[in-house]
Amino acid sequence: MRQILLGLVTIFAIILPGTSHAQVTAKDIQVAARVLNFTATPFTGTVKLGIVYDPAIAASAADEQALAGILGSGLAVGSVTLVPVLVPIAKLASTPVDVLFLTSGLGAAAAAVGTQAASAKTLCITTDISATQAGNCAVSVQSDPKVVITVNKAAASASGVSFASAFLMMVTEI
Amino acid sequence: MALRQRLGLVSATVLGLALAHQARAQNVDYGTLEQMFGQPVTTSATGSPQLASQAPADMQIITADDIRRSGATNIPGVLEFIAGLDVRGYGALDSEVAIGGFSQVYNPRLLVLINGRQVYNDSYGFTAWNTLPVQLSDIRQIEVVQGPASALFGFNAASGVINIITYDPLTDRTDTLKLGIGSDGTYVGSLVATARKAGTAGVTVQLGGIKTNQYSSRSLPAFNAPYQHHADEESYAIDARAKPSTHTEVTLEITHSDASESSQSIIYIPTPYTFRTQSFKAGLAADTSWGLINVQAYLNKDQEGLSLPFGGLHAQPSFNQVGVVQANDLFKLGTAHAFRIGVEYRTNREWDASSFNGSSDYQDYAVSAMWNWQITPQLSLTNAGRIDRLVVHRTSPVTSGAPYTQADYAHAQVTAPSFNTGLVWQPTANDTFRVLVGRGVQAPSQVELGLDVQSPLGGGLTRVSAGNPFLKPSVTMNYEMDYDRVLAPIESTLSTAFYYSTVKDMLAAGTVLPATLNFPYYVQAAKNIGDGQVYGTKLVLQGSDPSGLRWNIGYTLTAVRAHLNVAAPPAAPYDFNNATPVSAITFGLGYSWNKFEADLQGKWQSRYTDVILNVTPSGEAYVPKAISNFVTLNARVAYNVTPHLIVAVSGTQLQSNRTIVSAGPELDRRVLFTGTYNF
Repeated sequence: MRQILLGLVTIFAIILPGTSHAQVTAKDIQVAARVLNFTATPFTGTVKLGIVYDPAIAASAADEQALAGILGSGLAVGSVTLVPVLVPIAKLASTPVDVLFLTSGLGAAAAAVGTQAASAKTLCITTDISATQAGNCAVSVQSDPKVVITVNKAAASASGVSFASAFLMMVTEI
Repeated sequence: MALRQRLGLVSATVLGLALAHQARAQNVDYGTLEQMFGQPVTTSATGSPQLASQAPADMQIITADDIRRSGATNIPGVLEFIAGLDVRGYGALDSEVAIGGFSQVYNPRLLVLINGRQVYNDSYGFTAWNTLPVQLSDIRQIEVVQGPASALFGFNAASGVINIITYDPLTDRTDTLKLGIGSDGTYVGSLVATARKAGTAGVTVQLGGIKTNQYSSRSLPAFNAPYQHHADEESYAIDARAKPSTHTEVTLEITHSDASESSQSIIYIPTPYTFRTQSFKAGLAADTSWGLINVQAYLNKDQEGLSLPFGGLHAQPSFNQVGVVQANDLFKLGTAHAFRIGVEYRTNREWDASSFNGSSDYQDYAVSAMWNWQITPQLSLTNAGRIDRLVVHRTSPVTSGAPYTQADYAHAQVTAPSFNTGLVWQPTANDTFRVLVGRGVQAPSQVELGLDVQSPLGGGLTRVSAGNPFLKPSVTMNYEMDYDRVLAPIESTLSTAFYYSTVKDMLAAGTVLPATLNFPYYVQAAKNIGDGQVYGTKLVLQGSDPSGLRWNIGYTLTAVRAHLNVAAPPAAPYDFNNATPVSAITFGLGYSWNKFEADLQGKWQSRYTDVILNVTPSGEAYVPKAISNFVTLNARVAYNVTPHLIVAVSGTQLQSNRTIVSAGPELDRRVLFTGTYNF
């Protein structure tokens, strides 16, 4: 019996999606931009997207580079134009932005982002679901192999962000 | 209390409830949600927005691209190649559509809606497909639910639901002019135009029509009735939506349609008829601290005139009026539990001087609830239930000779529960399992409840066709297992469904049942005619690749076993064991290359038996007509002359000059040239 269970666990470990941090993609940004349509007061026009990164962490720096390439000087998606603002995590509190985008791999350092999002009442989005699970960023998006959006209810509330009911019906709330 | 006063009172009450709390967000934005999730979004499974692939229902979404590429001029033409749907033509512009067996003319078991407004006609209990007031170019998607869905939509979603969703003038611009000319003297035209102030208000106006000749005289079957060779339909609709605040949305919709042609009628004979429909709808959606509240009220007014070969029955136009007020609240408790609670009031009146001896009325009161539990990110359980209570209010006197009294009608009422339960498990991003159980309810139609008409038969006899206030609703139970698999290596999706359904107390109007002699009256009364079962399977493989190639192939098995308490043809028109093709194969191939777009759709279906009424001076008999297995091939080739102008040629029934598809006239091969200008 134990061997059967072990076998099942092994099979599911193979077929179930992993939790490793993939680099942010253009598709992730498209999804993140659409999320901005479903806040209580939807974003429109130019949105300053603060890309929070730590140059000392490889995964974070890689995301920052990828985002710079994807966003360029500004990326129009639907009713918003995302304009990137690079925010080294050390300068988080001194850089005003409309929305925070948390790069992956920050680990415990991401707690500072959660604190900043709460104090500045700013929405935080990430592709690093562990940051959302830890309550450091309100929303995580994943676009591959399928779109999955996760909302941390407590983190969103602390950031003063609420979403349309229709949107919340379609996402995973934790 | 008059209908208008009742509707007004109920509307005011629910609107007041909706506005009593501060609103804070918007209604369902299909377009943005679809763009965000990369696949169509639907509310037709639970009333809550969700991805079609995650819905606890056997659901297919027909997209605007699918509709355009079909080359069809009407909605049955779009549905024809959907696996699991039995679509058969009875007139150049009219068809019958059935799901899950028990195919019949004036199919009462499939509920059809446009943006949630019922376009199913309660008079005989059917959908007059050629009266739907919607232009194909204004349709965002057609949502097809195969299986009972009464727990969400109420009566008559017994075997399935087709919900037609149009573009939203608040978020979408649809500006299209389409003109066409084709064989059989066919002319088509449609115009859809949108004016809007982005995010604040928008209005779409659509109008269009088609005019064609039905068939050459040699393709007509033998029958003794007048026949109208030309067919036409025209319609217009105005859909206005506004957001008085960021967080609330109001909707106002007006539609009108006229249709005229010959098609198989309720008495199983090609019959010239005219239809006129009108509707008025108002709605409010507000996202409040109590959740997303939707309130909708609408009024449908239908007028139909049939020229039957008998005196009396509908010699004059008949009228049906349905008023509906619905309110529901969609909300979440915690992070894993979503609920939807709803109430509905419906009033229905059918009248004409000759067929109802005045009028037949009923009111329906319903409460409903849905609970979706996201047990884990991969596993969800949805339960939905609804109770309808239908109360007959007949004030018209009962004619002498009728088998029921005024007191019988005074006590007529139906209480019918319905439910849907669905377990959806997605263990991987590529696999979806569904276990579904549903109970759907078909209410007696107005003709089955309240018809009261007499016609002389000669020899001192009088025919009495009567509704039956003691009818039980027909109940469908469906048990289903589905499995979908994304096959990434071949860029396809495999969808499978296996179901078993039982149908209890099937309904039949007195007009098509054998009579009993109660001298001098020859009495035909509506009755419950028995039970049945269906075993069904559906396998569909469809996909596309970045080169522009797309494909689909599907197989459907529908095996029906009916146990009726009425005699088979020629005494009555029911031969359900043979009325639905047991097997059907659908297939399609398409390719987009630069400015060209080419698509071929085909369907093979096995033989079945249809029925036609033969009327002679000595009597009437329902004559079975065996329809051999046949293939249907439709194709379309289009060329984008400019980014705004598309020219196309499309053909239907390309496999043969004429094809026998039903007991109606043979279908001609047709070719249509169109030009579409998107401005």
